[in-house]
Amino acid sequence: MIRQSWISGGIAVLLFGMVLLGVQGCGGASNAVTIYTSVDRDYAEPVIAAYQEQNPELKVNAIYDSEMTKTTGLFNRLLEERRNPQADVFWNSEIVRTIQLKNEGVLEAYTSPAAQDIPDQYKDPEGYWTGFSVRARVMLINQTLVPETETPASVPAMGKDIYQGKTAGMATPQFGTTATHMAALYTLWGKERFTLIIKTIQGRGIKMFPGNASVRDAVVEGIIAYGLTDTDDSYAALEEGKPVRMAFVDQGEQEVGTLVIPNTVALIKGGPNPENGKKLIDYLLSPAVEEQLAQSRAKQIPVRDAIPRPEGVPDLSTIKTITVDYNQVAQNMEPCLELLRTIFR
Amino acid sequence: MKQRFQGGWFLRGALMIVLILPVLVLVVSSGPDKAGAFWNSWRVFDRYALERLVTSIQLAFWITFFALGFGLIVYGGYCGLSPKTRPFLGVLALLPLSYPPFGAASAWMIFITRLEHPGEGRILWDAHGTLSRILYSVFGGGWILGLCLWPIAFLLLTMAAGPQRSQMEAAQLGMSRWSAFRKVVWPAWRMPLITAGAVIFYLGLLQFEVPSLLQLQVYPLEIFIQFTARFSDWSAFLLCLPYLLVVVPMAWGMPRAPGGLAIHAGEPPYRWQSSGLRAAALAGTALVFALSILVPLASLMRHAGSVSLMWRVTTEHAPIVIRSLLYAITAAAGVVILGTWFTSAFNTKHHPLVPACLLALFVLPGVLIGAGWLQIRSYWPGVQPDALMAATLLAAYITHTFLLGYGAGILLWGYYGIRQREFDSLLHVGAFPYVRWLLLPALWRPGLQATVLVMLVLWGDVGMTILLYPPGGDTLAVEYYNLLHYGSESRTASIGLLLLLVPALTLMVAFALTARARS
Repeated sequence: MIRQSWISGGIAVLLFGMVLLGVQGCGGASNAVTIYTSVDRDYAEPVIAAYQEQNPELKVNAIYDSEMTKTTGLFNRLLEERRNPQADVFWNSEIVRTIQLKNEGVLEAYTSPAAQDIPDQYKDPEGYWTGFSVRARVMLINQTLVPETETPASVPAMGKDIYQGKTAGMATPQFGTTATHMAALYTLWGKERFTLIIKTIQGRGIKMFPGNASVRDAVVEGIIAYGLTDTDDSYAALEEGKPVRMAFVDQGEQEVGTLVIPNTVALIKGGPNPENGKKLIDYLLSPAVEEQLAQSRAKQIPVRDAIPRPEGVPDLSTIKTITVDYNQVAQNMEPCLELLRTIFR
Repeated sequence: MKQRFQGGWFLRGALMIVLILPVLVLVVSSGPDKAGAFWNSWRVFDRYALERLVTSIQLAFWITFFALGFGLIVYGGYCGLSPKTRPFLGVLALLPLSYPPFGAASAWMIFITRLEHPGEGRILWDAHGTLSRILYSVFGGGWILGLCLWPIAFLLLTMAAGPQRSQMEAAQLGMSRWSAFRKVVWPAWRMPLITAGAVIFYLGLLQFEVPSLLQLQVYPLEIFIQFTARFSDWSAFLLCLPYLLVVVPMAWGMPRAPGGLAIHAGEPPYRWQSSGLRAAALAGTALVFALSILVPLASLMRHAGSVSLMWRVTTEHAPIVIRSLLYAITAAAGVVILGTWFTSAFNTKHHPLVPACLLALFVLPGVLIGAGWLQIRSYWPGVQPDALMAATLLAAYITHTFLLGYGAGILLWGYYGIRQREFDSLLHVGAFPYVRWLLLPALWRPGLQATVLVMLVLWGDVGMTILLYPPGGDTLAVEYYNLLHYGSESRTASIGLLLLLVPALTLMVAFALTARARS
């Protein structure tokens, strides 16, 4: 009797909390769609809010990732939920993890009519994912430290040139777009050459940072003379009028080019609201969203030629890019990460 | 004579299974299916993992060094106060525990950045100046975490049977100061200091968020990489085994060890007689409080900028603050209530496996427990309602911190008294009147205090929350941790202030309530 009272008391407290938390939350409606996104919240939220505004009858639930785990936190969640998916759409800020999800059987093929004018190189031939709005890997250079005449924008040469005692920097290579970039170079160069080059870079004492945003801040402040980061972070610094300039990496004749990383969107297999998910995918792949992302502070580069670019954002055709099969990059991610773990320790 | 709450082993066993279930599910679902793969998986313990383990040990050493040092200084101040004012210091000492360590680390990073780059609006993540070089090292990590964890040493010292006035007065009559310290003070301090040192050292080995902010390659980073970069739950679990191998035998053996930590009863500890010594001890205490509370507070306030921005952030974040509090308080109440029920008629000497299991759950990284509950939740057919998502998050919180509820239960029943329980067993009253008129009046004050203490532990959780929160239902700690990685700006600092002030206010309110009720 008494025991029951204690148990029921405990359960009552828990239920009371849960009811309040249920009221606090916002999902659960049948006319809903749930999106998991690893895109920076500052940029993803206005896009999702605009879709919600256009569809007031629909409840759009969004779960954002953390900058620290970048993509991988949501990737874990999608994998663990595989038995009973709760998301309808995965909007990834990069591509390799999306391909890994496809390989894990988490995604459902869906060819969006909105993607017809997106170049084929940004679409999965089997329709499991579609890419749009790309970012590219760039070297952000401190203008005060590095003379105008020099542009240290080669990845293999990182750390070779020291300016006023300041060297280069990059984000921890196990996470985010830096991991994707490394896996692409691993694929392109092969294990031996990649190991040699990356060990040389590491041996030059380049500095490591927790994310691309912190690389940008370090360049802006002159802690490092130049740093490997993404276009969105660099544009944000340029927009603020910081004393920096940006150069796409590895643009020389003998060099491999920069890596362009599209956003990818995919339908989750067995998600609770597939039809609503498809509609949301159609919206995300629309020219309007590409334009919105291009006009944002991130200035993501549209993959459609017809979409107007803000000042300073180049046409993709003018940039030398790494020609690599993203599927191979996804396959090489695991051995590449293992190798990086042994080099950067 | 049979006491109330004895028996019920079936229910207790069921609860234990529920608590262990997420780990079992995780291990079974992620374990290698072939013998070859099983043996290969042990290769995660390579020299790189061991190098990181060494870094973690170095970090844990500095954390323990600083935490014990600061704890002793504040205990010195405590002994300089009159018995009436001591409880206030006891409550104040909980404040550093109420702030998530990564919040304190961010405040120190802002502080040092501001010192070396006046006017800079972001955290700069690199050792570019002398102070930064110190901060971004195992020594700096030890300093920050020592400033967060010293209350453990202090509280254990105040709880233990410290040097009593009568003993000290007798010692002063016939001994030199050194002899008095060696023969009276040290024997009283030894056990609480060793216990606190062991607990803090162990917590130091588990640290991940603060070292990752400081760019330190620690052992838990290996676990994190296996889990979030290589998506191997099994490898992550294997890497946790060294922790379990240390703590489980410890938990098994401790209740059987002779001696142990004696809790003082009655006579308060000795008060310094020399006014000079009292002043020095209080000045040292003030310095420790300034470093552990005022520096983070002032640093965040200055970085947050205008009061209007702080107010705007506060009003905008009111719902998320309420939600975060609800998560933490509901789970904490669940932990304490279930723990109190669970520990009734419990003897650790007879059932050492139970605390060992609970300790194992406490030391496992939150993300693994979160992943286990996520898998269990995925058995729910169809769309998961928000309440279910919230419930699994609460269940994960309870699983991870049930050890604290177990400890609270033992203390609460000890506070209630064996004689009182024997007397209660003679009463012929129903369950509700018994709980309402006997147990609650006696236990609500310490119960509330225990709930608030568990709440403080859960308030800053990131690992479990990030995996389990329902859409639109994240917590303040998760939001702050996310924003921190973009480079802390004024708005982020304002959120950091909320993260610091809300638990502090909750703590003050709870203790004011209990103090008022007592008076």
